[in-house]
Amino acid sequence: MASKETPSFVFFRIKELWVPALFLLAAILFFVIAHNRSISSPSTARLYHDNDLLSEIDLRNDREIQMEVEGKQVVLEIQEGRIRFRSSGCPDHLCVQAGFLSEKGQYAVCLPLRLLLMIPDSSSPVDIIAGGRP
Amino acid sequence: MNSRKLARASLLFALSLVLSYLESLLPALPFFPPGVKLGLSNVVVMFCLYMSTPFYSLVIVFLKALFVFLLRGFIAGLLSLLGGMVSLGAMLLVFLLSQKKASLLLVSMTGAVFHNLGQLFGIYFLFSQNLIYYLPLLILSGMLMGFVTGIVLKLTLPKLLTLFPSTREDTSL
Repeated sequence: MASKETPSFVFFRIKELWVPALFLLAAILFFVIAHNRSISSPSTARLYHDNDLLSEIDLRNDREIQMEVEGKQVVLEIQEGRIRFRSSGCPDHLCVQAGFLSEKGQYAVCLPLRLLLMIPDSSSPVDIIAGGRP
Repeated sequence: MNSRKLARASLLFALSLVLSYLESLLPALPFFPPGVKLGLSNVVVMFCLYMSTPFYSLVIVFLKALFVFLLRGFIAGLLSLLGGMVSLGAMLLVFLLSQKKASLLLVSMTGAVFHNLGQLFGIYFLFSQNLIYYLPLLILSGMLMGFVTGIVLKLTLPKLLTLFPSTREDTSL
């Protein structure tokens, strides 16, 4: 790095303008990507128990939620905007096998524990279709 | 490293600390998310770069991270180190690719933008949060803050040159 020449302290050069232009382009690109993602991907899921809304779950932060429903341990996992039953104390584990929900309108049900996990579809007039308990 | 170089490096580091202290006295910037700062200490880092003493730049970045680590803890120190290293790397690259002819504004803007990117990467690495939403904001604020620090470097350059006239003679350690 040894050099004795006087460094050039030019404040600004027109021909270097492409670098800030590139930054700007990158900013716009990331904005468009982020914007697209925010309108296409769901941001909340809902968990119902017996038609009662237990909780509205934010899907933007990855985490695990543990809860006890009807005396059984249930673990929900939120990962990259998706949600699933990670484990459940129910006997058949159909809810776990339903896998990740990532699209609006998808749902996973745990009948033994009377749980419904779903991602609401705001564009659909019907929020949830469910019959009452006999 | 002889005592003269040690003293010079210490003075430059002290200068960068004073600059970041002065910066903390400024009121929070309106219209910007909290945490967006000018990055005035980068002025000293850039000065060392222009004087062909990138080793001083490295020392300042490293010591500053150590200082932040002592004052604000491990994560803040790590983020400071990451931002500083990525920023210095990008500035050095620009500086060398342009055969040391890069303008002050180009170097300062690149440094500020990549400082933000480095920190964002660090936060992603530590907390695995989806941070794409912050990218445009951080790039834009980096450009703006880099613009301002570039102006500050331009204005303080004559003083810095009289204070540290022979900095560029200390190329070997």
